[in-house]
Amino acid sequence: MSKSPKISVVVPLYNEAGCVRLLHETLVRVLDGMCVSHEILFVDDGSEDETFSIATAIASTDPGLRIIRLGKNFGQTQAFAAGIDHARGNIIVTMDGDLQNDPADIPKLLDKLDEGFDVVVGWRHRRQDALITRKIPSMLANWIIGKVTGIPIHDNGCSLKAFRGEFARNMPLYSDMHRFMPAAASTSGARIEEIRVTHHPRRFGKSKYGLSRIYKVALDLLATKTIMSFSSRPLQWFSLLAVPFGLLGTVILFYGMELLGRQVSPVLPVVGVGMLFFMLAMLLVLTGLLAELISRTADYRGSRLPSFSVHDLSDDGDGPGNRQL
Amino acid sequence: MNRLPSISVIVPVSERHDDLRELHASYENSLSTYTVDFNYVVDGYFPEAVSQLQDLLREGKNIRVFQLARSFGEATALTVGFEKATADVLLTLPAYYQVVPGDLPRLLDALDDNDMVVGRRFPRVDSGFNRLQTTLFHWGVGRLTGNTFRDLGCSVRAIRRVVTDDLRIYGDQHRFLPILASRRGYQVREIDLAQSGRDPYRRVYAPGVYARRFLDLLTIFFLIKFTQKPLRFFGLIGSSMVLAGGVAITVMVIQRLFFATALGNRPALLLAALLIVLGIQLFALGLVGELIIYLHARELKEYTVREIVN
Repeated sequence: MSKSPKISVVVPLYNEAGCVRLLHETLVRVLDGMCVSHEILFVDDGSEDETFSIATAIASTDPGLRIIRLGKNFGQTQAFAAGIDHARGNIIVTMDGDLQNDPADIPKLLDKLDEGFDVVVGWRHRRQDALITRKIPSMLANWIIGKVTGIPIHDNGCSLKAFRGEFARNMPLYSDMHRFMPAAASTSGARIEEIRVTHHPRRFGKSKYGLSRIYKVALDLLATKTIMSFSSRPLQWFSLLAVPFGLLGTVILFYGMELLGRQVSPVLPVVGVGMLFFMLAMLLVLTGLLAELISRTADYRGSRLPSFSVHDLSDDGDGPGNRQL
Repeated sequence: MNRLPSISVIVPVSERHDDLRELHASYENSLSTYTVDFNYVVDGYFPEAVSQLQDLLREGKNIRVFQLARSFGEATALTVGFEKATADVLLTLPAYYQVVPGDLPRLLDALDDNDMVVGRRFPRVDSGFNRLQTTLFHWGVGRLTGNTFRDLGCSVRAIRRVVTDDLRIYGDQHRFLPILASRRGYQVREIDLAQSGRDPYRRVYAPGVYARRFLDLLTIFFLIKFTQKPLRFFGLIGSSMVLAGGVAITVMVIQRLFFATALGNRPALLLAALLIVLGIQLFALGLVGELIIYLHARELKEYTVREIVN
């Protein structure tokens, strides 16, 4: 292929033999209607059914379809990461492979990108899933994720998203980070917008995501949030965390000494508690030093780290003031 | 036949080794249908083995010998071998008779549609006690990792270059190569090789050996489960400690306020504070772990690609 396409559509597939063909047809119809160069990337995430052979058969007739077959089932985050790493477009669209997302929404997402946003997220406002097991937990989770990360997205779980390429490529995608993709993109300073998208009920196969364990999401969220706030100045962050414990320790120590002066009851426990909190403060500062060391030795050059998505304002092609498809 | 498949054999030599001249001859003999070069990695100070290898060199055999400055462990010796070896198919072999050498071509044949083939000594000729130890160890491995390999102690493995380039092993992790490889999505197969009659030589190991195997198991478990998300591990322990400490302090404060039990002289107060402090410290360590992963997330590719169409 001589020229790289404008738009890459990344679709992870895991045991979707039933709908690959339909998915491809619908995608091609929508993309062809848009008159921009495009490629479709199917990421076969270690399917055990016919998904790969069917997709390969389609690819033999459509040169615009690429298939990346992963070594085994790595999960959605890694499938997206693989797709994004292999995508060649300057705009990357991600979506689910089970046809619950409607490819017809892609032009709407791209129009929004055109308005000057870097990431446009789909919001399944009439979600076709079970209320108790899927919708209510997800509403709660989205509310908490929005509060904690400061990015008030109604629907973090919707896979239908459009990214300006550099923001997708700079996103740190590991573990189950796909849940926090908007938050991850915002670490590079992405301007994020959401639009309502259609959500179809499942026609093929069964849902592959149940209620996942809450503690995992909670800890992942905490990690994402704190990393977002401290990765560039860990010593400061840990020192600030240490201050209240240091103060608490000092106050308790003085109280203990005062008790000692009045010679009332045994005071060892009080003094001990004071010392412990004081020690915690010291250890937190030292942990901060260690984190600083790690942060300093990381390779900040190139685009590996999210904090360095840079717009060249003088570039009249895709500069922010002059965006066109 | 014009071009035979070329194979690099890697033999880590450590304390346990047979007469390498004889061993080399039988390996060479069984692999005579392949183009083979031998790489011996001597892991430590073993003058006897070195003199045997020098004999082989003097005879003009196609071998290379690498002497490590001290004993670094078998995993490191293998890594050195992987780096020095030139072929795309690597065959690791023990420096002593572990399997019947005649079975090696069968192992290599099985590599056709796999990325790695590991040997399993079967049928076994050693004692029932040895076999019981093996079974118990692999039962533990199976429970922890979900893999069903039955003889990780067998050092006969045929590996494609892509796999060895991708995996980093250190310490005693050579044992877990098949597990690590299949975790990365490579096709790993286990095939039965007849155990050599000279393999069994010890019944009971020193207690330290068992302790080390157990720690290896824990390491591998941690590496597999939590390297992507260290806070899930540290955070779970840390938050339960903070929770326990917090509950204890609350109970004591209530007793102080409403039941007039003195607070300042209770040793339990110290314990509660210790739990909270330790819990927070663990959390902080987990965050440092997360920072390391986050900063290297784009370099540490978790996924592997089997093939790309178009």
